[in-house]
Amino acid sequence: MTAPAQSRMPQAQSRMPQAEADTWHPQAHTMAGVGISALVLVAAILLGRPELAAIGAIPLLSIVFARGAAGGATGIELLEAGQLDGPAPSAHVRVWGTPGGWLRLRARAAHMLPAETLLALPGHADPETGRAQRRLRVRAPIVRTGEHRLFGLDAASISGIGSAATPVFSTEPVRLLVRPATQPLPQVPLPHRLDGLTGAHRSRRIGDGGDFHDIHLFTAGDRLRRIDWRTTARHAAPGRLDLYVRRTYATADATIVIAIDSRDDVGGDASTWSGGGKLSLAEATSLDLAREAAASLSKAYLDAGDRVGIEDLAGRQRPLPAASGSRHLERILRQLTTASPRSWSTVRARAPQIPSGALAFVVSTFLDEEAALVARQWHAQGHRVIAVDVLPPIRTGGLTDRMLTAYRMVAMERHDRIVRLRRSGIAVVTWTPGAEGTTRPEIVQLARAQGRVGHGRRGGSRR
Amino acid sequence: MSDDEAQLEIEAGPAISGALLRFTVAAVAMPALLSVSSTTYHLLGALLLGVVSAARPGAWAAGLVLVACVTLLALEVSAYSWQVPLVILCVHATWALSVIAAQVGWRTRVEVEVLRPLLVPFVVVQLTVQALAAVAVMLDAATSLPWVGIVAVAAIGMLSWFLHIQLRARLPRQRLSRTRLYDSRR
Repeated sequence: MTAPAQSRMPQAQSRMPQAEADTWHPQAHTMAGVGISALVLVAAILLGRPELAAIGAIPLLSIVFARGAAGGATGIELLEAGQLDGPAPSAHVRVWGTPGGWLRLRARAAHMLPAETLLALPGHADPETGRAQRRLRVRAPIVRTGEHRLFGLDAASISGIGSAATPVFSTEPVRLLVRPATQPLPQVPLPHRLDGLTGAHRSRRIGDGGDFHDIHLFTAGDRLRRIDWRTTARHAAPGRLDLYVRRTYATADATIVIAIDSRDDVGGDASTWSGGGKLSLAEATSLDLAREAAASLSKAYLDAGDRVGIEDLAGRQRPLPAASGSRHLERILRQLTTASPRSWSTVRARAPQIPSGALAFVVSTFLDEEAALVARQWHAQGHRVIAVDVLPPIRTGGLTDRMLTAYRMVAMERHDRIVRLRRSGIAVVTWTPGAEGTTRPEIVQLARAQGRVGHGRRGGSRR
Repeated sequence: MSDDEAQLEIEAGPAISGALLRFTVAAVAMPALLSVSSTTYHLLGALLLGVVSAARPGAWAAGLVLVACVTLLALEVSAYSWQVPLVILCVHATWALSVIAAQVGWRTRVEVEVLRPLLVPFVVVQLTVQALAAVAVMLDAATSLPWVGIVAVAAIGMLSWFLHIQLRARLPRQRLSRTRLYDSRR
């Protein structure tokens, strides 16, 4: 994973969780120590063995000389949570309690192993509150995106030598939307036809732009500043002066539609496909890769001033119409983050309507026919279509013979489907889990190939 | 715990694992028995004590005090013996570590800052109890003088009273008054 779409994205909660306790109870082992101490001291006197009194006095003296007396309010508060300084979610937590005391803090989240630490509170109290305070950070090193419930906290305060403790007080996990990271795409392919009268790309039309087209005789409507005086002078003859103008290609922008297939969310472990096992939060699933691919493509195109729209093939969310700008990137990221599979999905009679001339990306695992069908229909309508395969590398280690046979059949069907897509003229690229800053050579290669083949005719690629 | 399962992380100061702390408790508890006798039975007893101390540090922190005293009595270890200061040191170290180990599980991280402030009180208490043991040796040597015994009993009595007052100040009161109970139920 790379840097998130925004470096610092604390997610505002209507009310951040907080928990407090102010009742203290003696610890059982401490009371047992006091009792045994008293018993040994009495026995030492009765038996005339004062050295036993020295041993017996140990628990009592330890409690007496300990720092951090029991009593007073103690608590925990979640200050902020989100993708604070990286793609992994983290939270800032404030704890307070008895000066010199201890606080046992446990962080928990669904489908994650909890973390527990015995913390030391500062020996000095805060002048305002009269309690010892401390701030901590809790991290959830997950690579998964989407909605998660994280950072539930359990805590208990303990006085200096463990003589007394509060009951455990807890806060519930908070709902966080973990946004996909974006990866740099130095070059991206463009549609067959560009739109508009201005933009970042060279169009096929002649108009205002930078790239040279030809030298042509001045005609009505040509601007005077376009006259190429050098050519005019070269072609001048006695008694005849024809004006020549320098014509350039007009610029235009591209419309991109990214169709994300959120009907599937499968991990690399094929044994979890049937719903029998839980998906690990430490491994990206197909939907995480789809979100990352869609977010990276959207950012690359929007940075170039193009218009990007989002379609959800699951039909659960309303499509996001093509638009441009940084605010639109925020809308796209939110749409991608909240896309999730449902037990039901809409069966499409035909592919969604997209703007004419748009470049369509179909981001899917292609485990069934629907996404491939949409891609073929768009291609038949004249759109340039690129299929992005987001199925993560598969492990079949934990499969039984029957499950392995079923998996092989699904894999073969998927392979045939992708081959059919390629044969019909649809480019297929694979989006695999990559480290930070991974450039996608297949995307770049597509853009370069388009630049060579369609130079001038198809508008080239964006660099 | 599977390898591919993600785990939350609490970013605190330098810390040691709860397992290491518990093994240390076992390692410190065993010499309390081994120092007074090295027979096979005592070796097995020391091992058992170490295992129990590591597994249930809270319950056995006080238990070791009793075990050490009974062992000294049963083996008739003299107050002059070099083993007595060592037993005192081991029992005290086990107690000090056990009260922390009792608060944490095997996977819990324990901040070093939790342990560091315990060093000075440990030294103070250790010097005090070793001094008490030295007084015990002197008393053993002066058994013919009856007033020494009276002074010792008086000293232990004063110590007990002092400890009682200190404990009352440091331990919370368990019982709530009727009014507070009524308020809390409302």
